Amino acid sequence: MIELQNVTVTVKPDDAVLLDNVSATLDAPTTAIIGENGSGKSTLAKVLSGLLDYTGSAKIHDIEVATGRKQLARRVGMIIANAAAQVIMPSVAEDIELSLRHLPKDQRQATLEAVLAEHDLAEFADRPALSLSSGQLQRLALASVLATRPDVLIADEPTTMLDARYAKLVGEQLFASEDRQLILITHDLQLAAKCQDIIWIHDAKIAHRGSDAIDRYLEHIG
Amino acid sequence: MLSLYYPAGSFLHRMPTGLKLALLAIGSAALFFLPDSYWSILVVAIPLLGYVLARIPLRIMVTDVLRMAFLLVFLLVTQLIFNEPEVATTVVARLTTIILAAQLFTRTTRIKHLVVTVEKLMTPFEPLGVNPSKVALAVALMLSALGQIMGFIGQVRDAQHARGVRLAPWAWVVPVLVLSLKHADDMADALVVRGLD
Repeated sequence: MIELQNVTVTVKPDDAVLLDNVSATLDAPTTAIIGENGSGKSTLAKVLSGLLDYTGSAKIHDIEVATGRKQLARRVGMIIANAAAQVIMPSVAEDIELSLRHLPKDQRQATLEAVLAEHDLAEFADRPALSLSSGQLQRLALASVLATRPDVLIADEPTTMLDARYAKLVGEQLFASEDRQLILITHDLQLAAKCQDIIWIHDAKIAHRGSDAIDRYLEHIG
Repeated sequence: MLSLYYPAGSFLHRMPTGLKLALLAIGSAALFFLPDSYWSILVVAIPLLGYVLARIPLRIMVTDVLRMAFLLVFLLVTQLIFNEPEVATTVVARLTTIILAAQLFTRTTRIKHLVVTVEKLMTPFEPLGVNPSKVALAVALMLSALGQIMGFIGQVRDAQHARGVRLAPWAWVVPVLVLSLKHADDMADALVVRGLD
């Protein structure tokens, strides 16, 4: 469960407000965050991932994100919008292996092969990660994060670069686990509609929440 | 696009990473005992022979040599200004051999094996506060970043071509620097979200 209380994010030099006094309890297994560019969606994702300083309180599993980042590292996975930067190691297999370091050595190879197969990346295993297309990099980023089996997955625009086939596959993978809480930041309203809870963020605040949030958002943008 | 490892299964590929690293270090140090002579140019043949023994295709070897051509020409010109031709030849021959040997090492060594070896080498320094995993990760990141920066150079040149802009040969430096800094920032975020910071 995620609890936000009066979360505010400002940035220097002009103290621009990126998130303005946001309070909410995110307890649905799947929550979509929608809104226009620059509305504060990715800022919220970064707060939950411990990437941005904030005032107020943001707790995941009762652990304050700002002070408990190390405790949360293995439990919270995030796919950042720039998938290319999320890929750390030079080859596809090595990048996924990096996420498997916590496993006993004798289990790593079998798990690696399973992850590669699950994400349709087996044929690219030894390829330099940088030679992949944007969509393939996005799938690799997702595979590397899901390999750690996080309790909470924060996915910032996970299907942006994908063609229809892989957007469908990734969509299925995001929703595949019932034990994992999904926070999905997306412009893909069809994908957002699959979530049990939908939050529309506008001008750094929660503008509307609930099953009709998409309709209200569409009315707003005309 | 910089691709490091070339899978070929030669004895150089199978050689333990620690041994390869030791040979590279000892060989590089030994080059500095090379007397100043035009004949020193022959040492460049050693890593080139290594490419052949490692069964790395000629086109990759040529690419690796051409990649450092600008640096070597620059070095040769500056050396010729300040030194005798024999000394300049020896200095350039030494550096060419070391760089080619290092490229041969990365062509025949998987990064994961290098990371494990670096981690092992750093373990004795743990009581001094050194974190072997972080040092090994830093090595891997450095090698990845090289590839990424090469990609940025291509990206910036493509952007210049796409706009029909003909700029000075060094005009890519600032955009590549900006892209690299942005990438470093994103990479830092990635390390945090993957619990590796």
